[in-house]
Amino acid sequence: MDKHLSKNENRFYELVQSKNYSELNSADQKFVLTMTTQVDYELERHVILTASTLFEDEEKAIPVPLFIPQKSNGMLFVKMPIYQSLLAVAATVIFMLLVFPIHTENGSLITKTEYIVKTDTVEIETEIYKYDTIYHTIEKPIYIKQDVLVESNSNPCVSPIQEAPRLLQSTQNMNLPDLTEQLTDNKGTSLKDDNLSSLIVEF
Amino acid sequence: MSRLIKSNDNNALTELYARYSSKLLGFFIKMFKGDVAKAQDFLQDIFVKIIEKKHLFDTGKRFYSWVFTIASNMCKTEFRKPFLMSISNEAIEHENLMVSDDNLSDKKSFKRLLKQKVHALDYNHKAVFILKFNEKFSLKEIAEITETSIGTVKSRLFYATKKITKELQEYNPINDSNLFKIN
Repeated sequence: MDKHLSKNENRFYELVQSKNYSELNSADQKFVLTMTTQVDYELERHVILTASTLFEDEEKAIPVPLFIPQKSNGMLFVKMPIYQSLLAVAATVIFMLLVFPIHTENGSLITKTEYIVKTDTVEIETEIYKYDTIYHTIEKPIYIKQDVLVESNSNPCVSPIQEAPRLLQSTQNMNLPDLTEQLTDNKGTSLKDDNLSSLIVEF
Repeated sequence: MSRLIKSNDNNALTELYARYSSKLLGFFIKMFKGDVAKAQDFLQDIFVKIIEKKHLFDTGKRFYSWVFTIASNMCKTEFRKPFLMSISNEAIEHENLMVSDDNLSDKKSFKRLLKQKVHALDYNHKAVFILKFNEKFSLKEIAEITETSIGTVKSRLFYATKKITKELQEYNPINDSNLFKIN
């Protein structure tokens, strides 16, 4: 990088471009000698003068006829910036996707589903089932018929005395109602005295 | 001129080519160290660029300067190619050896040596040197063409001349008074 010329350098260069050393006045000669020698000044002056005629041969060269390649003025040959080309391609692709969306073999539109996982507090009501074996104790009277021989003297029509029912496998502390009389009570054959007959009529 | 540039008329283009092709070809030959074929290619290319970029031309400026700005930028791009530059530098060194063997007591040999030193300059120095001393542009025009300031142009000219002079010091004019006899 050349630094800009100082005032003296400027003055020196103007002198060397315009005058030979012999043409300088005494003040300029003194100035030139402070910058360089007379020999160097004359050499530099000679370089500048010779430079103007240095390329005489080159300037005689004849240019070849101009050849401009013919270009079509059609729309296909119009130059356009690259970014415009890219925008045009992108717009075309978007347009085509909108008009002709891509379908899979099943005919469904290809979509990309994004699942968003959100963590939240969820209260779940739970039912706890406890399975167990429950044993129900069923108390059931079992009647056992047993014939008892009884001596009868006065009333031979009296039915034989039945033995009181006995409970099998029942707990000893249970107090069972005495149903003997109810079971043996003679109700007769008529429904007249039967309380349940009213239900039949109503039915 | 602006009408010629803006129009799509082929005759206008032919007129522009007739006016500026020789100057541009000479500039390219100088910049590319005498490679005429390369310069012819660049001449074709620059007119294609002129046609393509005619909308960029500022009608307030000189067309001549604008064309040389394009030419200068094309050269700058070419100079940035390291492979090509290394080949060119090798060619200069080879030529240097040949010149050293010659008798430098005549003007022709000095001119030949000076040309080599100009070709050996880097792009920035070479461009301003050629634009100033060969194409005869003013400092202001060179500043426009090279897209720099006038101060920078002066500085490049000064240091380019100094460098060439320093390298030619061994061929002191005192050794041959006829060689450096000016006018």
